Amino acid sequence: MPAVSKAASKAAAAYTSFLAEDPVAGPSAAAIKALTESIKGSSATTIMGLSEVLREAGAALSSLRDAPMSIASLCELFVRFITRTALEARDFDDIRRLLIERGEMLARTTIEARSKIAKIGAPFVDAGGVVLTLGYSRCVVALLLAAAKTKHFSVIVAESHPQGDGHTTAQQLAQAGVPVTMVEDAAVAYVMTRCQMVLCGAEAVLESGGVINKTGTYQMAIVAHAFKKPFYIASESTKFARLFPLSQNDLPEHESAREHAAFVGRGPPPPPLIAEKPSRDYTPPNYVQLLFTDLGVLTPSAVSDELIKLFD
Amino acid sequence: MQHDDKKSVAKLQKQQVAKRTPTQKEVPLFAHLPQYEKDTGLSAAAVAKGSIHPAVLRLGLQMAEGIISGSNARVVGMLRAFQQVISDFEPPPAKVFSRELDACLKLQIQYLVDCRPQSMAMGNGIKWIKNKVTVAPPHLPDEKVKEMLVESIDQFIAEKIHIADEAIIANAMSRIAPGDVVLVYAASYVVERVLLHAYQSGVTFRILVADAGPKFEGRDLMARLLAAGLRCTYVNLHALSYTMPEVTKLLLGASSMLLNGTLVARAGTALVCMLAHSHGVPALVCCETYKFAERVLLDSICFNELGDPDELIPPPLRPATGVAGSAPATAPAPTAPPAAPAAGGGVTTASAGGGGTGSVADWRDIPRLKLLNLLYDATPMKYLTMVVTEVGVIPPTSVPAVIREASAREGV
Repeated sequence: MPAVSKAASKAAAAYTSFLAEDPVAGPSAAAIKALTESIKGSSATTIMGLSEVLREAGAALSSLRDAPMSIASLCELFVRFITRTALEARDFDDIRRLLIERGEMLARTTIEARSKIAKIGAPFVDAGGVVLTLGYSRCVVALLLAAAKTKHFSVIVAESHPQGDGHTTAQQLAQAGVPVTMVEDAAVAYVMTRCQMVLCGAEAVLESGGVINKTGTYQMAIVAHAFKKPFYIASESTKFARLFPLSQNDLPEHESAREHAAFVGRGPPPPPLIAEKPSRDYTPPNYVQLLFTDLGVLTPSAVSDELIKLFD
Repeated sequence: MQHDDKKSVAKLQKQQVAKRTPTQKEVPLFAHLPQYEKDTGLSAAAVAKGSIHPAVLRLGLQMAEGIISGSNARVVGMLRAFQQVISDFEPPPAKVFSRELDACLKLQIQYLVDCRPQSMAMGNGIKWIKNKVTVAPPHLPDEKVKEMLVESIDQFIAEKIHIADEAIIANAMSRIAPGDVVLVYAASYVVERVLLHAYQSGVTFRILVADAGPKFEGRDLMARLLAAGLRCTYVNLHALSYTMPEVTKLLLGASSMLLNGTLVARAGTALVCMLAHSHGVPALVCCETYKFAERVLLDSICFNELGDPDELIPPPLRPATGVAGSAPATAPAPTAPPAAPAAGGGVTTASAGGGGTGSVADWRDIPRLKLLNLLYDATPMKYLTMVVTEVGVIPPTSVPAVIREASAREGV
């Protein structure tokens, strides 16, 4: 598309480099930094111009592969902040300065949020218990490591195909001395009886109180529900997004770039056979017990309340 | 107000502008509600009293006759009438303007309530206008205050209803996907516009219009949708479970949404929602935030409205505009067409002739027969999926959050 402006492609490049340079910070913080960077670099002299720059940068970031779902909402937050500060600020430079300060603060709190979540979520892990998880979430790992400081428990991690990033979680926990068992995604129901709780991260927490996360989260939640085990989510509040899907079909389509696990070593599928590998799914709020966030421990219905406060 | 309490009924009768005929046959469980009895002389007493504005007089009759119905239409009608009351209001000399106007409005409201019990949305509108009148700056000249009030009513109607509806339509329209089968129940103005807009935007979908007596409001809706070129299926409430498996979304209008996420809407809505819930069909409610009421209901009994019991009688058997208390002992013998009993949904007994004993048409003369025509019901929150409002799509659990934010903003 020729309409992609220079500033927008610059924002996308900044995002990729921030992510590469500080992988611990995670994509949310990188996105906030990239948006702040685009304000710094913009030559806009009006509020409308600045909002436009942000929207373009946001659109460029969302079109990136594996970009978090919450970018559009983050962008919206920035724009709302502009219109709100516009009344208080003296002149345009003042708004710009406030906005950059706000962006930097937001990026910092995203990283600090994780230790806060770890602190409030850790007491939910039972001593001697078993925690089931999947995928790789920095929040979940931080929470489990914080809990491991004071009590003994073990973790079961599902491999989480198509990306298979459950391996990253398992490695990090094992290195810290937490007993970890790795199971295949198909074995989630098999191990469920052994677990005391299920804990997952989130790519985005939605208006409904449901979450978008790695494929397999939905089925894990359903199995947990069937076995009457609590299903918890750990997520930063910067991932809250004003989306409200009614079903899986309402999600923007997103496929993993990885080769389909089932076809490794078998060659590409012959024509009438289709290999689908969705990378994320939507878990409705009725399967989620609680969410551990930097705003506190929330019920799914409280997410929408927070979003209304944030965006109103 | 409990209408089965003698003391408060006596008090109410003193306040009433238009006296209502007391009902002869009330259903015990619903005796606490304002009882319906058809009155032809509603305006006579009010006119005699002389303090009711002609615009309000007309509106009251239109509401009583059902010419103006639908929660938005009633609120807009009421506010427009109040605009005229305010601009024509001349306070007695040496009196505080806002206090006199408040007393005048109170009388107008009483008359409207006498004509037809107010809806919760109207209650919200009344609360809002009363607040506007009391906070009107006392140092301004009367004409200025009148102008301000008239203007703020214009603004309320534009912002809270018209612009809000546009936003709701845009929000709800995007939820209709190609290939959807959308279930609607009875008739709602906003829902109808959502469907029409979605169709005009080129989405191919089908509509299932569920309907029920006594009003059969879905028939008019379906006629309008068909005229616009949409594909419709019409089904009565009793056959809904048969058609439910093909439905993908349920789209509803609302009379009101309550603090505990309960939906108050046309009687039968709760049934439709529960059926949808049991089939895993998401239920979407379109509701402007001004209809969010700060109260809680657990059932449809404590608050409801009783409609005309004669509506339950199949049309061919109905007494010709029977005035209360003078239901003819021998109803005009109808030449009962063979299809007549079917139209009544099976309430008639074997003797379809109006004069015979055991016919519903003679219910006033049959000691053990009472008719109950409830207009609304309450749907618990757990059967609803989302509420489409002008401030965005929210889960029903967030209704209190929206009310809180709105009142916080009003307070500032």
